[in-house]
Amino acid sequence: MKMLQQAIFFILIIVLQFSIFPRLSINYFEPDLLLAVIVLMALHKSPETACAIGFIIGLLQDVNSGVIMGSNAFIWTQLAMMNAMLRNYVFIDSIPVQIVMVGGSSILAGVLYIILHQLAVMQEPMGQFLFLTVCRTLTTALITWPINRIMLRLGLIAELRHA
Amino acid sequence: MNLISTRHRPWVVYAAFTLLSLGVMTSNLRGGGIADRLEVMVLYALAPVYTTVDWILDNSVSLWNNYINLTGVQQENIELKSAVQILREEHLLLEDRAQSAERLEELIERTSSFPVVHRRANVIRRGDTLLNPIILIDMGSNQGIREGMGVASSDGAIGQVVRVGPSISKVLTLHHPDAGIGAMLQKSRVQGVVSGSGKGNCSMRFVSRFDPVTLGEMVVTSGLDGAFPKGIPIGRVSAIERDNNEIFQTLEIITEANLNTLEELIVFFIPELPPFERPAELDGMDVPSDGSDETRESMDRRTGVLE
Repeated sequence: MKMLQQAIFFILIIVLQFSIFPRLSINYFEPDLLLAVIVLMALHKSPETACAIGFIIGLLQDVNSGVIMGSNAFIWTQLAMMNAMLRNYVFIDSIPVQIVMVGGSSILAGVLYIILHQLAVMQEPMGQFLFLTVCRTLTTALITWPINRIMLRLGLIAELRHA
Repeated sequence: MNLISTRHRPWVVYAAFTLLSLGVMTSNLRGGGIADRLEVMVLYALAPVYTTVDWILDNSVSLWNNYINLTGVQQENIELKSAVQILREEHLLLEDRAQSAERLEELIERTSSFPVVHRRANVIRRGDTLLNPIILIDMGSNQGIREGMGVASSDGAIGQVVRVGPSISKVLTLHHPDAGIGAMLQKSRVQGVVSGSGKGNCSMRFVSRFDPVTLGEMVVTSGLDGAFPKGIPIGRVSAIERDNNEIFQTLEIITEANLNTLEELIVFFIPELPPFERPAELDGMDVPSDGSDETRESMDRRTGVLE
């Protein structure tokens, strides 16, 4: 039963991120649900699981966007590993800490994205993109708490794990 | 038996996934097969989810618009009836002019000998013009879609198919810097290439700086890229960037079609040109095709021009 609920949760997140948000045309304020899920899982699961989830969800992102295939998979694998390593140094049950981790990861993802695309000689409007990253970071940080509660209830992350 | 110690396992797994993602990226940049196949596989897996969600969303919106949210419909109906009356009269006039235009077209043999077939496709996922200039449509190789086919909406050209799954395809819109559509200015017939400017809109490049261009002029497809028929609207010129040190000028274009409101699209099936037929008088002759002076001279000699 729990497994089914978890599967439905992932499908819902993917549908919301890739089908419903684009229809709402909230470009600048579109929260990155998948990023929040990856960071929260990386903070609570083993680094191996975190890397695998980061890679798979990154590939999903790549297919759903017009970017270089594999770039999001690369970025999200790095973020997942970084968060999985940092959990030994932070108090991961604190919601403000989780919000900071999600926000920081969102900004880092934006920076890595720009670096990769500059290396691949793709024209990206940097100023506009940075503004977009900041806006999306804020909205993603805002949804961290509700996502955390849902994931706790579904057993995707464990409660009260002190570093 | 543990080949890798527990202490090192996370780093080995991390290195493996990092190398895998770098491999996919390199393969994609080189236009290789692994990334393409992976993309098609994921598209194939996602197709049922997207199609179902799209169906549910479309029906919910249509239920709301057609059965619940009917405020002001009566007033709108009265206004529409009077508008239809005016349009009918205009239609009669235009029909007559269209018939005479058709006759003229036949007379000067401008009608294309390669009829363009098009099919309707539904948008099942739309991106945005800045970061995600792609669209997913509910047609794939099962419906005859091929990479490179042109896609348009009722407002104008949208982009080209870049990846084809069995029942779902990915369209790269004009707003992407890697896109490229053969285009021309409607009035002056000046030709160029339209692609994404990287700022969320499009630009027309390779237009000589000596060619006359006016702001607001309509840009249409030239039909030379083999993806679109001639004359599909693309957008209007909104700015002209001209540098005296450059051979070409760049025209900023505001597209006619709005990516955020796309629902139905048209995919163009343009038949490939028939292979070049060798002239009958050259039969039996061994003519090299490198176009050099020597070749031309030997051809002329064989066909009797030099004698």
